[in-house]
Amino acid sequence: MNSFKLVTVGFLVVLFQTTLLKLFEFYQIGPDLTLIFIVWCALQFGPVAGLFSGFLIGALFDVYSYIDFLGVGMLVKGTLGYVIGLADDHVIQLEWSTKVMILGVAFFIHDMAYHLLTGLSSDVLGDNLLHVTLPEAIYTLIIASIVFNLYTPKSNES
Amino acid sequence: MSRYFASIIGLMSWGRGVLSFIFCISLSLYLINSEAEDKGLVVQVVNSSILYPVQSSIIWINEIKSLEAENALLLEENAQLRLKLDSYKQSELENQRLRGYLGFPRKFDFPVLVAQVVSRDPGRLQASCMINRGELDGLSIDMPVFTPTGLVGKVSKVFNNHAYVQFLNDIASKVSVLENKTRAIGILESRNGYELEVEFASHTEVEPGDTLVTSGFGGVFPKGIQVGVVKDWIETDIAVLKRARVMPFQSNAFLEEMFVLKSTPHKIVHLKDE
Repeated sequence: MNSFKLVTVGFLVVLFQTTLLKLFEFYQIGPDLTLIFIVWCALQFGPVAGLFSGFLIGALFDVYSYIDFLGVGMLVKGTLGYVIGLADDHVIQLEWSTKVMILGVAFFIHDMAYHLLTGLSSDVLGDNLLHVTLPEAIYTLIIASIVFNLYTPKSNES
Repeated sequence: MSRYFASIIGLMSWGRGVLSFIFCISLSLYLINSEAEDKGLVVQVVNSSILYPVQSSIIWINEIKSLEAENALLLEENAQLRLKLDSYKQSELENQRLRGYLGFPRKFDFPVLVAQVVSRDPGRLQASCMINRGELDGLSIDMPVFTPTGLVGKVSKVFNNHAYVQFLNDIASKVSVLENKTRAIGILESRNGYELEVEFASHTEVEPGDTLVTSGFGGVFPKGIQVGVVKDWIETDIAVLKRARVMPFQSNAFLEEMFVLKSTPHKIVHLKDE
């Protein structure tokens, strides 16, 4: 997949996340498709793709947040994309289930880092992770299982 | 020879990756530490050139599909509303008469603008949304936003033909509220980003089930907009304060249209960068 296609897919994912995702929400809980895309991109194409996908999607997220927080999404998502990309398919061939687990860990690290950088007080962080991050992580991981199962090269399974 | 060549290529691509990483991280850190004006400029460019045009088209296509079903519902609702209208007219006349007796000014003497939600905050806490009204419609920052059910938040960023609304659950949002029965003043905020809490002085006699409205203090929200109900008390370390969870009247999850009160905020304290 070339860079142009990748950027287009990333942009479409963000559009879907901001406009039509509410149709798939249960009790205000929806999947984070953008994080699936960043992790998939990083594991498939390496750290640079992970970095830029995270950075650009983070920029689009930051537009919605309070203006003082501009840059936090870029920083957190970009770093996450880069670090996960260090274990891409060219370096180590991972099974789809391992990729899903990486996404699960990334989900919590992302939320913790983002909340701490945006000034959420640390005494309510655990509560937040339990009531907001956990349900969304579960929903996201279910979707990610399908995506990673479909888009992981079969050679990785052996 | 080819091995050396391959390792040089590998090193170069690794170096390129590290350089890209340093560039992106530096840019992020620069943006985090930059002035509010610069941040506003970046947001404006991203919004006006990329996000808003595409998102508004998607919403428009989606709307056409739901128009038919909506039309049937509206017809039914219209019939019911006609019946209610007569009774409301009577109430309004009575209200005006009583208001005249009391010498009270009209509560919200400002024009109201209907706005439609274009897109929602993709972040985990969903603390804002984009609406299809902007500077050209007369919107400006800090205008109160509400629905017939209750307070939604305030306008936080304004562009030519769209704007952002900051919800009450944003951790940066603080609203002065008044308890209807005891007239106790409290501060409504969200510490965890998803639950609303209100802080009162410990001697106040507010109880769960009591209704909160905006107090009018702070100059942003006019007095009397319905906010929510006190749910239960939370333990706090500060002896002089008591804190309670609040159930808002208006849930952010089901917002499609909202009203913007075109009032000019009259703040007593102005921030430095304003």
